[in-house]
Amino acid sequence: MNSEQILQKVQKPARYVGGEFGEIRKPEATTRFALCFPDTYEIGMSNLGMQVLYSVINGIDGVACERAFAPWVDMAQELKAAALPLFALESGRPLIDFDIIGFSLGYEMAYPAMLQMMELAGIPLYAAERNGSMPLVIAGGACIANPEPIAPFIDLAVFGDGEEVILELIELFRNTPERAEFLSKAAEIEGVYVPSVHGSSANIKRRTVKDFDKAAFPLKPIVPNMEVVHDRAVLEIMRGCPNGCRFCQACFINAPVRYKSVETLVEQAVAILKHTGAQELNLASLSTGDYPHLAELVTKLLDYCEPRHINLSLPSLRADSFSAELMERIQRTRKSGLTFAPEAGSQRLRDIINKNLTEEEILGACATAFAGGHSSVKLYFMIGLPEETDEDVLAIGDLAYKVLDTWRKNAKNKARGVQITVSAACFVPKPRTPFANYEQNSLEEFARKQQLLRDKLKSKQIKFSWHSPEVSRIEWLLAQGGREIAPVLVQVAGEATGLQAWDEFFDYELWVRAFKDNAFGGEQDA
Amino acid sequence: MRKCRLFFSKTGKIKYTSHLDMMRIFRRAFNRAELEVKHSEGFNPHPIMSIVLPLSTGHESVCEMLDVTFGETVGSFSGIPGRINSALPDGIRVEKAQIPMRKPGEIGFVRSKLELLQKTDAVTHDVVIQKTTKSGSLREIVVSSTSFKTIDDLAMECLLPPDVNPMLAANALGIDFCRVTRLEVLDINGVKFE
Repeated sequence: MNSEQILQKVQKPARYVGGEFGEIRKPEATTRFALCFPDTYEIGMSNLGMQVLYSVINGIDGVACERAFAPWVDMAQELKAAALPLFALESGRPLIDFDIIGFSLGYEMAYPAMLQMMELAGIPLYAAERNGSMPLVIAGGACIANPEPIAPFIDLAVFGDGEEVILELIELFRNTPERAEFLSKAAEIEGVYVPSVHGSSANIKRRTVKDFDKAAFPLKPIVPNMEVVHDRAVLEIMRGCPNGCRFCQACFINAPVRYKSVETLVEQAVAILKHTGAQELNLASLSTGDYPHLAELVTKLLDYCEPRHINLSLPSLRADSFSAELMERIQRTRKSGLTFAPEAGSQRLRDIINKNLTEEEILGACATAFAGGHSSVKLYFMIGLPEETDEDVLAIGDLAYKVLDTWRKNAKNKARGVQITVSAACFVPKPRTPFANYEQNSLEEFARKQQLLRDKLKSKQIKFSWHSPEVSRIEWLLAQGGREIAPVLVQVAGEATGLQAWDEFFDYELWVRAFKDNAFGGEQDA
Repeated sequence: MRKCRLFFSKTGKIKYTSHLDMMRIFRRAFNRAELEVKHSEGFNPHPIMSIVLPLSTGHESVCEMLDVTFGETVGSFSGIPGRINSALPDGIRVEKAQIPMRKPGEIGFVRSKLELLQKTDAVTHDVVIQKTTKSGSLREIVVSSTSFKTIDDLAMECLLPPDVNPMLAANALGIDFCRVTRLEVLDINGVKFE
């Protein structure tokens, strides 16, 4: 079967063909970089880092950056059956014909998909099995906080902000044809980890962009032809987070906090909105409420957005961010509901994890929102946090009931009812955080705590959802694991039928077997 | 209210974009080109636009139509193709913009080209096409052999009612795979629909 016949058969063929508004094609380029995302097109194209690197790399004369995503299970099977290698979207060129293959690794559960992509491309998985005629395989993203499990597969990794160091790496690559010489020189660049030179990744220095206001930002991003996860224009207003919540890896691997100026942001917003034609502008950051000139920025952006019916979406806002008047203006353009992330149920545990959000703040904001006509609230928590007791777990339920009570006292229209969603994730200790060495709760412990909470949340107005402890377990093993995990990943990649980052394909039994087959103790390890 | 019909082609890789995604693409292109589109009244206003005859994902076309209601700020329709084409992704090209002459319900036939991988004999007898209706039941449509015209060994044209997918007709002829291009939309009398 040829690729056209395959595309006629698979679901959502637009995932595999490119051709979007803003796509860059450089057939004349002499160096080819394949920017690879180990998840679907829809997820990868909603990732800001992908758009930033795509525009930065394509900005280099003579260098072409193309994209590749993990094919959905139907496409992967068709490619295998037809013996067609995985290809990049822009030119349709097989990945193996590229000079550099760069993976964006933001989530450990995507490791098998990275290996599956390499397998489909016909690229040997282990770096030791590749010679200089093979593509250089590199990686970046949050997972590089602990690159040990994937270290045997990559030639090098970038830890920290990628937009500057990638330029240095590509320049060095173009000027140093001999692979070993390139790797030894690359090992000297700040933020670059080369397993074959450095050995352990323990002392790798993280790279940070100093002048964030001037940092490269894609003003002409690719606008997908098909619906993706986030169909909107994105503006990164700050990097890093001043809150220092002890569980949060993003905070520690994006420090220090850096802000863009209001002037730069307004200019970039107008350019991006004009290029994308988007109906929504998202102000992205780890904690938008902490941007120091937020009221000024929002006022200026609203002046542009309001007459054009463009929604302004501001995630992670604090209740006290704005005056009532400005809040009302924002509400008019945005449709999103009310969301809080107290993370822990009790003040005691919130103090331990350094989550700076009090019950009074949550209930106060809920009261205002309910009085203003809101009828749904989402509350995000984690269970299995360090020093957590059963009282702390039950306090999640208490807080949910207090929110319900607040609705009863303040709701404008009780006939509409209320929906309180309580979501409890299983805590995954992450590297480079103060909780890095904390041992995760066992599956039994997670199950017991979830049951405690389920028994408490019996109200029809409260919806309780929880994450799978099994997924969180594997995520933790990969996040803190060492090089001995590599063969486990190879086995899972070889045997899995779909993307392990997707609940519908996650196969816990397969992971347990792979851990056992590779000389791990078994139940206590997996 | 300024109702306008855009005539456009959809060729190349963009053919893999679904009907709903085409609407999204046009909506953004109108924003980019600063062509003001009227929005519906009500709690959730949406732009007033519709594709006259949806095209299956994977099929190409040189005769697509999109009806859109522009706001007062949009000038003469004749300038619209020039303004919007640079705002559209590769493969979509607006050829003409004019006031709609006919209602979508007046479409009678669609002429399509089928490009085949293997030589197929000329159609000499009536063809029975199996079609699953929205309710899930199977409906049989009989199409006369004169609806099919052989172009050469690897290509034929078919003239079918608008609710019959040319791919189904191809399947009924025993063809598994073919490239479909919509060539022309006609009324019940065979007059070009505009």
